[in-house]
Amino acid sequence: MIYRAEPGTLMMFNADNGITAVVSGNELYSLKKYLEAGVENEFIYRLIDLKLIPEEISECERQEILKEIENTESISAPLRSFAVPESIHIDITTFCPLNCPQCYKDTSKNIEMPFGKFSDIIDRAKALKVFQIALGGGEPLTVGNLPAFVKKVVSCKMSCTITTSGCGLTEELLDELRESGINHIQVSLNGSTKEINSYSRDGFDEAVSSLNILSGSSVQFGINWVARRDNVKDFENIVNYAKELKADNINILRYKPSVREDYGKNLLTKEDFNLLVAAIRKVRGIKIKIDSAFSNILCHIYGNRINPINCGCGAGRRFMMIDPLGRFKPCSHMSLVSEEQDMLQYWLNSPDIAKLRQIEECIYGDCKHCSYLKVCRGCRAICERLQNDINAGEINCPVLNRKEMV
Amino acid sequence: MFTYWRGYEIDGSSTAYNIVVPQRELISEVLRYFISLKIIDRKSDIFLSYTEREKSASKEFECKKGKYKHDEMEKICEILESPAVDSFFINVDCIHPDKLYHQVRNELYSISKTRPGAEDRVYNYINPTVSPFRFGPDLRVTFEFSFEEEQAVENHEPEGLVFNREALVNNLRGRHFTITLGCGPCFIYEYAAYINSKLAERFPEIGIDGGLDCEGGFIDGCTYSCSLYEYERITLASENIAETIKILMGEGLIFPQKNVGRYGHEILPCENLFLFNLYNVDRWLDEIIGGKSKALKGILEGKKEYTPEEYECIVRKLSEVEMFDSVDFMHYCTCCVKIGDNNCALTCIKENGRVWMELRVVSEIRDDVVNKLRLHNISIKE
Repeated sequence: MIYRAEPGTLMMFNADNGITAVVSGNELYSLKKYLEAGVENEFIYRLIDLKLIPEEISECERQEILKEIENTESISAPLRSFAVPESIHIDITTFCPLNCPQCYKDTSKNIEMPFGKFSDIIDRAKALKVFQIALGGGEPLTVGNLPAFVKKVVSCKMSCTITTSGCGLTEELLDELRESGINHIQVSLNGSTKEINSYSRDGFDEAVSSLNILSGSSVQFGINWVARRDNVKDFENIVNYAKELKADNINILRYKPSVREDYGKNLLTKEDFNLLVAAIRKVRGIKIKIDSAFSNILCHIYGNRINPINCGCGAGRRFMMIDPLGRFKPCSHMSLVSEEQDMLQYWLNSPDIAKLRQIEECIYGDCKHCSYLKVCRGCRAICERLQNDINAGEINCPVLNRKEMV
Repeated sequence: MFTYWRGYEIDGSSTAYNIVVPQRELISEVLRYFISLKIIDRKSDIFLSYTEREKSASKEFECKKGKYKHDEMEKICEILESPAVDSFFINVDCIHPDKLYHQVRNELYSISKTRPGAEDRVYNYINPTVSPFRFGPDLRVTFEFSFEEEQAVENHEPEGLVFNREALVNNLRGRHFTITLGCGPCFIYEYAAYINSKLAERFPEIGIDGGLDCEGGFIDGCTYSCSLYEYERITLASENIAETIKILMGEGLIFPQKNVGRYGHEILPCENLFLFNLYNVDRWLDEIIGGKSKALKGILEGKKEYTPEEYECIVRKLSEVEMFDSVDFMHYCTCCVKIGDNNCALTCIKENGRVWMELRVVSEIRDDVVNKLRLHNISIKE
């Protein structure tokens, strides 16, 4: 487990089950009493059942948690953000053997992050008490000593996930990754048939092969599916396929601009969007996850009942990204790259990140007048690409709910 | 405050959120915990009904129902967690107080002293129990979750039993989901307090209010009208049922009563023993109580009044029916008898394959009855 102080709040994370928790107020006091004097109650038993605190707690762990609880009184955090990133996305290579039409990454140069550099980043993340590391690329499976990367993360108690096209996954490699402690692998697939997948992605056979390998293993996995006009009607088939494989989830990603495609041609229409939401509502038997750029789907389903902590763009507020050269960005979809060397300094003081934290005040256009602004905020990366300004509001959002109409 | 969420970060996805939001997962967690409480009867079925919305923003709902066993909680939670489900309602039964484990029983009885308004009452109980008659405890409890479209928020003043007041007010202001626990007027106060206090302690992020009886308090109204202390159990040592009854009747200690009238509310004296709780068994439907009424009708064959010998014979037959648990058996064997001016019960219990007679007497006259029994050399099982 990792325990980290935030202002007035203790955050807890268990890499084995992927649970992140936030404790404050009376509940934090209750935890403190348990740690100091052994006072048990149903809430403490619940924390134990959720595996957020060990059943048998060592003296060392007890002191560690108590110290973090004490720190909650003095720590500060930037506006609307955690004191340190909750998670970091790291692209460990730019190389990819595929040539997907929808790819937004620059794969013209073959750059791989040296293990030494990666190791330094992880050590720093550990010191800051980051909870999760998400590995991507390019195609991360092409990195020769990938299991060593995973092992490094896991040895620091953080969780480690990989997003992949599936290209290069063999049973042997999967075994090595499993033994290294990988928590989850997400495979990108945009269609239940080669034809549908090929409209936007390459490597259908490789993806299916890797999913079959994962299905027969004990490693938790899911499918990344980008919602587009040319595959939205195929969503139910993807769901059925994922359920057959016993995948943990389908993660629905919002389609983002790519240099290789005409963005407007494949963007979801309002009818497509509604079709997708209707299909999502019917899904049973598998978890559906949503890219935070698609927070408007959550707003559409739950309205203002949604809690801001579980909705809205997390770039610069919950997570940040590191490219293969070790440069920092708020999100891999944005062009805002920084030459800052120190992770914490970047998180606390980057002007790019500061802009993202002030979106509520600076945004203009439709989003400014939408009642869901505080919980959604649209996708800053898409607005940056299309309108050259991260403060621009979304255009033609199907969920726009003008405040004056509420 | 406490909240949590599950999920691994996925690269390229800029933080992925679950469609099933933590609030809905929390309701699922609350439901699982509620069902696992030691006073919930795991042998009873869980009746579920829910409404499902076909399309987003559509006003068309479909109502669905189902019956589940306790080991099918995963199926129930899967329905609950679906974003298409707008409201959800389950019925489940609690365990009769006579069947509770010793530890749970003690915990429940200790709650009585905390009942607002009852602090000065003296609980000198020996072997207390609820009313054995058909209008005894209603042990069904409902768990309902829904979206609240109208919000009585800003000036909401929680009433009745209140747990986690701050969380309650914050949640109402945040317009989160509402869970309503419901019970009938004959529910037991201690059971309600037990459920609420356990939930409140386990889930401090949930505010709980409610529980006033119809008199605006906790002890005087018809809500929570069934008391844990209404009767005292006196188990008799003799296994010779017929002979013991003849002595009790012959010495004028008990006077059989029967219930008459359309709803059985009128109680009149009668010559022989009358199976009080089965007065309308002819109208019972088999499908409602899982085959039990068929078994009963087969044994009773329309007869309701019994001599002591006939009563013993019926009791022996009822004791052999495996589908009747200990509370069913006691309930079906119950006859109403007058002791002094009080309506008490003469019944039987099954323990370790043996059948014992029991008098269930109004608490206030327990000592008096025990003295009279001893006077007539009728032994009491300790």
